[in-house]
Amino acid sequence: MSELWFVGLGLDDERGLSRRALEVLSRSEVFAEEYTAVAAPGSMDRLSQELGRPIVTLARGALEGEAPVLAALGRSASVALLAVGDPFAATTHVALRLAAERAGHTWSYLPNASILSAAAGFLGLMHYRFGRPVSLPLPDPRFSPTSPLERIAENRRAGLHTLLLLDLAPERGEFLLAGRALALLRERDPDGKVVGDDEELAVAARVGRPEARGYVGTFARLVGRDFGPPMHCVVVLAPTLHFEEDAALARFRKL
Amino acid sequence: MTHVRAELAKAIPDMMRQIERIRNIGIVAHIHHGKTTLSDNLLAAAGMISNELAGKQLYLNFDEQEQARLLTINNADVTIVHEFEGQQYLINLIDTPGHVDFGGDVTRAMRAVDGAIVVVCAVEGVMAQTETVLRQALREKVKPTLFINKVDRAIKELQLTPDSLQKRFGTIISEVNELIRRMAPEEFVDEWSVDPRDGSVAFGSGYENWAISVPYMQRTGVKFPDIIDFVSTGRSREIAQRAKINDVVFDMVVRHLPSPRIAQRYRIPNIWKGEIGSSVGQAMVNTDAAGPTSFMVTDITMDPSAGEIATGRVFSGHLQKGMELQILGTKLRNRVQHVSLFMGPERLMVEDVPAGNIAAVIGLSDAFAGTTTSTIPEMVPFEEIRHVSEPVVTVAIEPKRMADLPKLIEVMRKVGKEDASLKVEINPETGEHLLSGMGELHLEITEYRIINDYKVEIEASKPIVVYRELVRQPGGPFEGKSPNKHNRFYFEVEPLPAGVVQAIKDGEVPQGKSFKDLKSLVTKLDTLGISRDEGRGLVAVEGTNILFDVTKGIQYLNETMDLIVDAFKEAMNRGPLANEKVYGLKVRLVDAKLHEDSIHRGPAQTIPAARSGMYGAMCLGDRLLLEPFQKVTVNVPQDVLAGATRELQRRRGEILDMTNVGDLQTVVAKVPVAEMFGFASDIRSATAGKVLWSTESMGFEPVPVELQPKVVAEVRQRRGLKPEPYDASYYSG
Repeated sequence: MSELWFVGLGLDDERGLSRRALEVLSRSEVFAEEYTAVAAPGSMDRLSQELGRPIVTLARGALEGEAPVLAALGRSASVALLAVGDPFAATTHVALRLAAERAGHTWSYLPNASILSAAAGFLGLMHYRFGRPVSLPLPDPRFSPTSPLERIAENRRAGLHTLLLLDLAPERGEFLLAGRALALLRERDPDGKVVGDDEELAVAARVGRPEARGYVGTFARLVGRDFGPPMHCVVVLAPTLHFEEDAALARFRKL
Repeated sequence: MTHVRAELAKAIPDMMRQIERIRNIGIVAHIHHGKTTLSDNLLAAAGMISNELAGKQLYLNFDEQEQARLLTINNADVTIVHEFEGQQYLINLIDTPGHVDFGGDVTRAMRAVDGAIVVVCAVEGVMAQTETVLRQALREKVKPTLFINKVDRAIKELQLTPDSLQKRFGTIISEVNELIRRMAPEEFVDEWSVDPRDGSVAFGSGYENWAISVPYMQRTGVKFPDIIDFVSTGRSREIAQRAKINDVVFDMVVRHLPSPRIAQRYRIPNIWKGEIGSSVGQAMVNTDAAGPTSFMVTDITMDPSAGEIATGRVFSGHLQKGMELQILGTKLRNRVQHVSLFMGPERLMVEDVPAGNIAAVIGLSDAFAGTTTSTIPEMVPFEEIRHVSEPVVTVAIEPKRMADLPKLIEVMRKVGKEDASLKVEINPETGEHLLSGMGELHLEITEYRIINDYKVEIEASKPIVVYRELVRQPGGPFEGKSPNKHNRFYFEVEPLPAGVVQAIKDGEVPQGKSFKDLKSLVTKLDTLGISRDEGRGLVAVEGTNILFDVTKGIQYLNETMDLIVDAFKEAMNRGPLANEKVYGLKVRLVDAKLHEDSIHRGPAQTIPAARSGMYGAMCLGDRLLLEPFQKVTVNVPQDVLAGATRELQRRRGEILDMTNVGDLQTVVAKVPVAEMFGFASDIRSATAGKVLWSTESMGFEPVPVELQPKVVAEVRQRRGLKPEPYDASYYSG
């Protein structure tokens, strides 16, 4: 029986790891996944050097296939899966946790910052005023779901913000950035029935890093704009703002 | 005497209307008995080509002249004007395919003519294929005349005396008459026997360009010993001047072969299955140019400048530029753009072609060889348009010289258009050019045409049988999981009712995933054994398979459905057993559990999940490999019947029927295509060559249980897969 550690890296680089996490990683066989979010460039290399042991980055297919991690649990007393952000938040590795349980192993969880909470925190919006978050997939001729727009509409009707997470395909260097994401929304909502051109949105770029930036403006002003390197997310604001939210957003309106 | 081509153009339009003075004929022979040389020299003598070319160059195949251009006109129908007893006659000579094995084409050519010149070599005598081609002609009520060819060789090589030569001719004539007596339509048994005294037999040399007949000898005073004398002393040129081959042979044709007016009266009830009392029936029986038009296409050729040309016979009415014709068996109408006659490699444009004639038409772009077209949309066609069966044998073709590749691609495309039962495709995985057809012989003939008619040297792979996959019984529900484990799809499968498969093949149930009139489709399916409840869940039709969604109210399923259809298409085109296409499967989506967020159920998650669900359900339904079967119809005389049935049974063949008409036995058997390789030559040797056979697709049926694992392993290994297929547990992972 071995132990599987689910370790969150947070939103920035290896310096976001807790002392506890470093202690666990230094005595574990370490796997990492960077396909649902990416850490600041060079994070994994520096961490590997610091730990003095290799970090095996698994592609989606290999991690979802579970075999490499289960095999490691068979030979090492302690195995760690290092995920960018939090391992059980935006992306969830619960399936792997269940597979480890079925194989008779125990697991532990070292949470870290997730975009699910950090985006709101960075912009100064109240968590209590968010509806269900929703992801926007990269465009694919075979797959253009309507549920993201429906979700935004539903949240707005309930007077709530919507956190819009943007797809990425790091294996081919492709990130859905905020400017393009808004253009996609407009394509699917050409008359602005869900979000009109004059309505206000927020873009949060590189949240949790020193280069973090926030932008607040009308849809018309933000659509198609370049907000710098990834990762980006969008908050479709509720129809009305709490006065404290309004005040917090003020500094991003100037940018 | 015959007229040269310059005068032809002026004379023809008028002559086409003198139906009593038209003859539509074909020349048939055992292989190497000189059919092509005779045809060439007849044309040369008729002024169609130069005397020097004839005999050296096989004119009926125009390729030599045409090969500079990409395309050959591989049609050799020719119209000739011949003067007989002071009157001018129009003779349409139709080319008949050289391959006696290929029954359908020969029958079609025979259908267009009323009379035939049967060529028999004086040296070899009556041979097996003489019997075969004669039978084909007589079955279509085509009246025969006899030309005994290569008399020059009989004189020079066999050194026969006048007496022994005449005896030899006597033997050939009585053998031919014996065949006619046995096989001719009852009412013509006596009338159609050939007799040198009345001139229905001619003798001569196609190569040396001369011929004589008894009436001709009487008229001109040339005696047989004179001929022997001339030939044996090397003065053949002189007789060729005195006993012109075209005069003798075409005199025979005009005197002894019927005009369309006479022939259509007794032939139409024999070759056409419609109601003779109908307006078009009466017009055809009476060769009535004023009646409704019926035009049977015997051949489609490609002309580099004009495009597709449909050649065929006008049985009634007339063909005129600008008129619209129904392509019978389809809902399509085509407009006639040009009408012409073939004169060797050229076409002579005419205003209008009346009943009884052979015409070449441009504009019938939806017609194939065998199509009947008419001004009467509901006319019964000469041949039922069979829904083109799926090809069952495939070869990969490549040019011997890579420089020929663009030409090969062009030629394969054209060959595919000329023959609707061929399929031409490029294998996306290997880049190979695949040619698929109805059997080994069909592909061999096509390869032969590519090499000989189109002049592209090619290499062809060993032919490969096309298999299909299905299940023995209902299987499932089976759970397919997405790689991220967040989504699950549940499928059931079972064989579709046979009526539904047929309706898909007939196009009554359209392919794809958007249906214009779902309501009437649901009603249609209901009558075929698919309940309305299930029918309303129709999602997609791929090949002969249908996907139904029988779930109720599952959130987000609609935005995932396109991906499930993608998985369905993929699974139906590559079955789980051997990567062959699935044939006649009903797939039911019975439940699905989906992740809340769309990004966790995109293509990379849903497609593998749905595919595994379908494959797994097929495993539970007990997978079957289906192989194609052919209905093989063999016509043989009594004396070689045993050899023929033995040959069929040796090939896992099942005899379905045996009938006889007179001396002729017809054996119908069902034989797996996989066992048909080499049949053409084996059946010929098993029957001493006295066989006429044809095949017809019979669809797919399961490979015998005991053979299935072996065949599956072979197919999988050919595809580079491990020999054992995966089982259900693999797909539940």
